[in-house]
Amino acid sequence: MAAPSTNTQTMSQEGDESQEPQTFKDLGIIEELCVACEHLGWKSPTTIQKEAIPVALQGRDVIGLAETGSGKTGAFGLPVLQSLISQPQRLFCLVLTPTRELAFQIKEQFDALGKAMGVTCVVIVGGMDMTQQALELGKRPHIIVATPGRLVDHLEKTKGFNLKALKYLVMDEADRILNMDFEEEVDKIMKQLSRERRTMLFSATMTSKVNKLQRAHLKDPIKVEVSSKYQTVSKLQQSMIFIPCKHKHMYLAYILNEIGNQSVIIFCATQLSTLKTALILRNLGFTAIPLHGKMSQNKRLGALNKFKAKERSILLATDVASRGLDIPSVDYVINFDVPMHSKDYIHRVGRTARAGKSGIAITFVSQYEVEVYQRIEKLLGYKLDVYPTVKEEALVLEERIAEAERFAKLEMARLNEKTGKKGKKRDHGDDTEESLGVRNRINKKKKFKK
Amino acid sequence: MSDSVADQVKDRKKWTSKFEKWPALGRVKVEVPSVEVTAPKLLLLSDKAEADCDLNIGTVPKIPKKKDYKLQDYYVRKLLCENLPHANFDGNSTCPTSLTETQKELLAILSNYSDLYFPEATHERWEEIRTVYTLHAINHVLKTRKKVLNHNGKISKAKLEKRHEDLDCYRDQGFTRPKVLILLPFKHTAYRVVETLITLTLEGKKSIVTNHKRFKQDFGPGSEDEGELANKLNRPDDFNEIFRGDTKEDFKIGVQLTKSSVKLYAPFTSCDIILASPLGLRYVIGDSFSTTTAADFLTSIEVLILDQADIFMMQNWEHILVLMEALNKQPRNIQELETDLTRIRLWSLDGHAPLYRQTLLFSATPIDHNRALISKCMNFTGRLQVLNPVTNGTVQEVLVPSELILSRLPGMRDPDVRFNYFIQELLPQFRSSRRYHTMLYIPDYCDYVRLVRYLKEDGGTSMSTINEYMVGQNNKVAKARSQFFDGKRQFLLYTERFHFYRRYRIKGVRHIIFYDLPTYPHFFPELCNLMVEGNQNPRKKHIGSSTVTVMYQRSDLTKLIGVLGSARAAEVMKSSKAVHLGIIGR
Repeated sequence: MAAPSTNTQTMSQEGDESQEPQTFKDLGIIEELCVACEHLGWKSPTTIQKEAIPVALQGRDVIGLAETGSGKTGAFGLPVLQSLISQPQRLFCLVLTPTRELAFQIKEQFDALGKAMGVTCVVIVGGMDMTQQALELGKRPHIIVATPGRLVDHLEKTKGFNLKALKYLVMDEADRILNMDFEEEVDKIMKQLSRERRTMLFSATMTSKVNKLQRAHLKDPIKVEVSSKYQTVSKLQQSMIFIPCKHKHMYLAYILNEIGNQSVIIFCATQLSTLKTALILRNLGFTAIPLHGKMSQNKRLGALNKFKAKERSILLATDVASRGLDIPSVDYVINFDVPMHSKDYIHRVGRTARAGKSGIAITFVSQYEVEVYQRIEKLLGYKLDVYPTVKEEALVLEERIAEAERFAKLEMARLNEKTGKKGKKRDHGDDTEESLGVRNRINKKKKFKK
Repeated sequence: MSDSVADQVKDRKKWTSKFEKWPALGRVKVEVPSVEVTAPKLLLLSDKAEADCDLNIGTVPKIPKKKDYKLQDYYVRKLLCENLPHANFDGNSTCPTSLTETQKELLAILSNYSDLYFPEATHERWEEIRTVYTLHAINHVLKTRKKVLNHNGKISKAKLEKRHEDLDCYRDQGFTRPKVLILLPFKHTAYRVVETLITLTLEGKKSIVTNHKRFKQDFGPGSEDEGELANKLNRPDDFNEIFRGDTKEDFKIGVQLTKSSVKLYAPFTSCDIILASPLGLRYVIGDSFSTTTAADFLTSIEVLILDQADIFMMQNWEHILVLMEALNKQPRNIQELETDLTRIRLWSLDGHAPLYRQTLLFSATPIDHNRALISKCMNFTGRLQVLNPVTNGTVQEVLVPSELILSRLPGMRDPDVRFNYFIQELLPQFRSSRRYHTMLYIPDYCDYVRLVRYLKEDGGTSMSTINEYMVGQNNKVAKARSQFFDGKRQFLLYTERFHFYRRYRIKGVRHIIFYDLPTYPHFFPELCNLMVEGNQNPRKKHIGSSTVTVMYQRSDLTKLIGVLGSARAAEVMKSSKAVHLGIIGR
């Protein structure tokens, strides 16, 4: 949650002559919402909120650029709710997000802010039951939080559901939504919306495509930027280690050993390597939980919740988890593979050092990844420190790692065979020890603990 | 309805009950949920539609006034009031409404949308009752339909004028169009309901009934062949009434009502009233209703009528149970439905539809299963059960002097106890005293199969058997009957369903054992009276009197009341003695 920021980063660019607003009330937020903010523990607005809320309250279109963890959700949530209260209407606001997890997170915030006022909010994302969602849409909620694909499904198939009366459109992680992957869906949604709506775009990073959208749909927008383009939070300690590719797992185990029982997100490039690394770590006795796009929606949510509740301290994820996810206390982010897109790096390390806390990011760079890594350094504009390691201590682990890797390979092969032959069978195979996937294993272990 | 109210209605402990005395119906048990509706905290954004204030939770219907009785008081539409005298069976011109007292009281209950359990709908009163519930069903359909059409008009007008309309005040539909489901046992009953329905809606007008000819061919009485007529000559009245006309048990038909026409054979997605037999409907929704979308047309049933529910017991009660499970569920696939989402009522969306359903059950005799079904329904308006005490049991109608032995067995609904008692006590007794001509009357087929298997394996007992699966096999039955009549077989095992469907007069019976009491109380004297002298084999001398042995358990109270009468049944049940002896048919 976007808690009070300690304002370590540079303040607003256009130096305000008037006195800095210190409370939500100063920003023009009505009493009811101020109370709700207090309940959430938000004492004073963050920078982006200070910048964006007054503009949004004037009824202007907004493009908000702010780094991760700076309270963007509040920056669009509060003005939307306030406007909803002044002119109550069903199907009032649509929030588009690129990932399902983010959608649930935004709904939680809307619920926390608006439940007491009777605001209804539904999540429309893929992987869930269409009929159930249609029933919820039939009740005509005030706010819809959706991923573009499933929303288009409903617009086309659910009778009597349209967004013609919509007043607010918000895009979170706007640059990703406006990427090629969602182009078709977003165009379809845009066609449905009325011209008389407010539009707000928020993201940490912006692409040129935003300009395209700006031309097409935004009306005289105000750009609110609270930090230079690609910046990371200053309480974040970034470092790297340069190691041979084959020693990556060894160093990972070594570092995890060193840092002890802290919460860590490890980003891998592919689903396969997430799985493999998870298996290796499990063989070494770490409780690691994977999260990637191939898992079913319920499992994804389950994995995330377990990590959030600190039942598992290590989360292995692909870039599915790199954006927008708000997990309050992540102490370490480890880039097991250097991200291919430099911007992804910003998003990844943005998972830690959120809301004024400190955090550490470590990037593993192998001999093959030097070039990609250099691009990141160029983007950041400075060089990262080398994370201190003792080579001998790491090399001690070599034999055990090799063994764990061998087991992991065997298990992967078995898993492949199972999924290949029997398809979904794996989900039901709770009774046979051999057929268990990693996820099931972890679940099982949890049961024993209890 | 808000969730908190819904939970309170569903909570059985919140229901209160009392007894009322109605002039025509008699003793009525009124049960209503008592719900505390807390004044809704008005949230900033909540709507009027979500408030509970306009719900009439637990309203008890009033006994109709003797004077100034007006149909309009019950919101009956004008058209129906005018046509009612034509449809009602005794077009008594002196009474402007031509309703009997019973009909008036039933209408009061029906139009209040209370659930009703009425176990005195014997064949003499079918006509009376059918008219009332058909009237109610049509009235309900027309009322709701009018509202929908009204709203349609308003919406299209608003569209023409390009006004923005608040869509939330037009929520007037369920997920699907069918609102009334009438379950009936036979095609001929359905035929009569439809005929009443047509008279009520279209009398005196240029009637437009789509598919009427096809319907007459399909459901109509047709010409009865003579053999069947002869068959019916010596049968009791209720049998002739039940098996009059087309007695097929598999049918379903959708009826669509519009202002000036009735469309028969309308598809289920666009009809208003569904008439079906439990079997016919079961074929549609399939065996495992959970996996098909076929049952979606049952999501929005608001009035469920089970007429002649006693006969469902004879057909297959399981179909009813499956149907009840499938009713008022949320739709499986909402995208296939034709209804506009913004028109669906909030309580349908919230899944409260079962609480808004009125269930009416008419049966010829009190049956525990029927009553259990009604008690499971959670209509928020409440439920009424007609529970009149039986003054004289049917035992009084027994004419043949015989000894009556009532033996109460321990346990509740326990077939094992019955079985063991019969094998260990009765069978040796009957064998040793060489009591021939003994009929063993078995209501449950499972019990029958168990006994037949045991007796066959055991050997040493000669028996003939007649069961319900022999209905089409006349020669087998004839053989069994003649062997029993001649005394070649000691026992005749005879099942209740066979008796229901054929009502044969079995000859040569001297002793009867009721393995369980019959479902219909009037079967008891009917069977006992088989023992008259004229039915006996003149070549066989019989020494000693006839006996009637009844095995029962505490769970058979309802059936026992029917046979003995309320006062005596209670006495027998309370008594510490397990066996009672008596002489019947003086």
